[in-house]
Amino acid sequence: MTAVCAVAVAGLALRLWPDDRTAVRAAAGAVCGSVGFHLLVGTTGYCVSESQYHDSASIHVLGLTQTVNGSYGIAVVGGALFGAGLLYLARAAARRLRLGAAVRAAETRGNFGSPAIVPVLLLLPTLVHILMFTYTPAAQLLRTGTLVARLGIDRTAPACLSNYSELLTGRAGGADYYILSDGSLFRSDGADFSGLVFRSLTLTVMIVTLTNVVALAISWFAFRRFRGATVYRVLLIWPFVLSPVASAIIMRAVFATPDGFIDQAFEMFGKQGPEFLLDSTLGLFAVAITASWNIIGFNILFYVAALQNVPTHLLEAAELDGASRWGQFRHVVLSSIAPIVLFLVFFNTVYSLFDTFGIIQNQTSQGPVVGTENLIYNIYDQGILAKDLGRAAAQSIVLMLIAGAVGILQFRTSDRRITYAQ
Amino acid sequence: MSSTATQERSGLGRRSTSTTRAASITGPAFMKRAGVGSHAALIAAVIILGFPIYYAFAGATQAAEQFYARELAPGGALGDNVQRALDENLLRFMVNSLLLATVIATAKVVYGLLGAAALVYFNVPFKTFIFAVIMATLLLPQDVLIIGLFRLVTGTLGLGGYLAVVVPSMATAAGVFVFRQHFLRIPRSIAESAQLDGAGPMRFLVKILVPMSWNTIASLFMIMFLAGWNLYLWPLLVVQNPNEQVVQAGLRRIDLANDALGIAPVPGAVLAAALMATVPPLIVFVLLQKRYMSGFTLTAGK
Repeated sequence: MTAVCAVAVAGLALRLWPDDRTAVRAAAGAVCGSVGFHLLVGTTGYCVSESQYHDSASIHVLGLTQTVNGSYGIAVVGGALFGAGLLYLARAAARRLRLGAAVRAAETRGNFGSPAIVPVLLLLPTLVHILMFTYTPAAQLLRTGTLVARLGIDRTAPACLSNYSELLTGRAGGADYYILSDGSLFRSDGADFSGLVFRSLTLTVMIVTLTNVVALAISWFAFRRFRGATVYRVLLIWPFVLSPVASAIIMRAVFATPDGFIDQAFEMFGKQGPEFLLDSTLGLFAVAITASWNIIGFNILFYVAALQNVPTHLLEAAELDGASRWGQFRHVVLSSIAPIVLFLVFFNTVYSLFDTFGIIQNQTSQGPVVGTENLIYNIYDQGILAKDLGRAAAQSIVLMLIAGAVGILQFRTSDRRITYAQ
Repeated sequence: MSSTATQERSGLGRRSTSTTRAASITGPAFMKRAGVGSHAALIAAVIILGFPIYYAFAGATQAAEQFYARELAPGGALGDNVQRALDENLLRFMVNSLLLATVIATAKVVYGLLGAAALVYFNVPFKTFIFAVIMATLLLPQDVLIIGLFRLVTGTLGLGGYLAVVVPSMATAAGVFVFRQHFLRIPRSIAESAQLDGAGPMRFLVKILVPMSWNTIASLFMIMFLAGWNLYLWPLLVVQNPNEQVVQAGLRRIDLANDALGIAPVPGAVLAAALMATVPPLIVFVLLQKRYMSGFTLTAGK
């Protein structure tokens, strides 16, 4: 298995790495492939190569029955991908360091040469801390995801990839039993995983779009220098000191039916208000509105500063060239505030994926119809309330991958399109 | 683009817009002064964003009957509602959070300052790699790690109560990043001349770097204090003793206790609690307002 991965990644390196040194590329690929295989498969306790866990399927081709083993496939594909990732990172790092040489000469001007222990001591608190409280628990998650583990019980059993394969088949939570009013037993299928992922992403898109569009529109009026501008800014920004929990409690009062303000406003026109907190689709909107309201001040703070920094002479030049106001906005203003937009989109995404827990739990989860849970809520629900650590860990890994993919995508876009200082 | 960006970064662009006010009036349409329309738009925005808070305030002053009669005017039951929130131990929760948030924010600022100084002013081997390792933690927020962190903190390390909340939350990639950006903006000649004058690294750090960073320190402290004050999911898991609970989890306790009272809960009490729980971060916000407004203007050019 190691050999297969090593060969696969070596081949990948030869194919994708534009370089002349064939031997070096092949060797680097082989090393990364074999190491990557063990890094990935090792966390599963090598279960994917033990026969007791094999989910085999029979395929009939031309009258021959072939048993295909799913787990071996996962091991090879996963290990090879992991190795390819390592190779990519190593290459990127090597490039950075070589490119950085010229920059570093200028940057190191005025550096303190004396005792080498000083910078180590300065960095130590941060490094020890993130190693212990970020990377260790992350590795622990990877391990727990392959176990049957219950909260409060030390004994665990290996489960190989079943926590993950369960997610693929759609079940994200244990089945719940309800006794209906006629006395019969109703069995729910548990949370639907693709629904959770979909809701997490939908909520993120909704919150990020709403917050940034509205914040930019408001900042557009607020960034100019005029009498009273500071007063407006403070009044617009301060609601971001509210916590997600407090925002949820406050907005619940606004959205509630039949006691809330929205319902009351509808009633003035003789209509019945929409049941924001009881309907799963409207509930999602209610969560998005609350979240946007909670963080919009933060975005306004940054957009006002960014708009004030738009270089005036570029705008003057654009105006002389006869650019319309919209053209000026698109080509000059937007392109010069692009770094801030990306920075805010990233932070809002992190908020939407993780901090919405407090909002969902306190705003809509108490309703009779629960349709607004997202991944982070379900992780808490499964891992802590239902005490199923293995399943919750597998879902945490999926959430991490989603956050990682979004983050890398955003950083790549920003790297390509924006030139940072230094 | 790059030349204008550097000009702006060195502060020249900003200075010209702020010192010559007339220029902004005669400048491009984009920079025109605010007219009646702008004021109307801003007032509308302030009202819409502020309305839920007024609504909550009105609710906090109303007795249950008034609230359910859906009156918009404040009532006279503020004292009762506040008392009810205080009976549920709100003050204790707030003191706990004040303590924890202050410690966490201070630790994050100090760690970030030291780490960034090491990365910018010293020759550290594998500098890019170390910076990447730190920055990657931005994608691993505490909330996604709770399942892995829980066993480590409560089991292996045996921490509980305040320590279980504070210890895992002391370092931050954002702190290192913000201070690094700030230090890179400071001319290298300052470090050079400090060394010519015989200043050691520690002296340079304390006497020169820190005084040049107050705006950044204040902005970061405010953001991190807010993050510490808003801690919710993690304390909900690790804090067992209700007397050591943080304010956000306390709000939920008050909410649930209030709900359990009967068919018609008193929304005023929990609304009053939610508003009271916003006062300390609001005070920090107002106190540091000037500092971080200018601090963020500086970092905005990025």
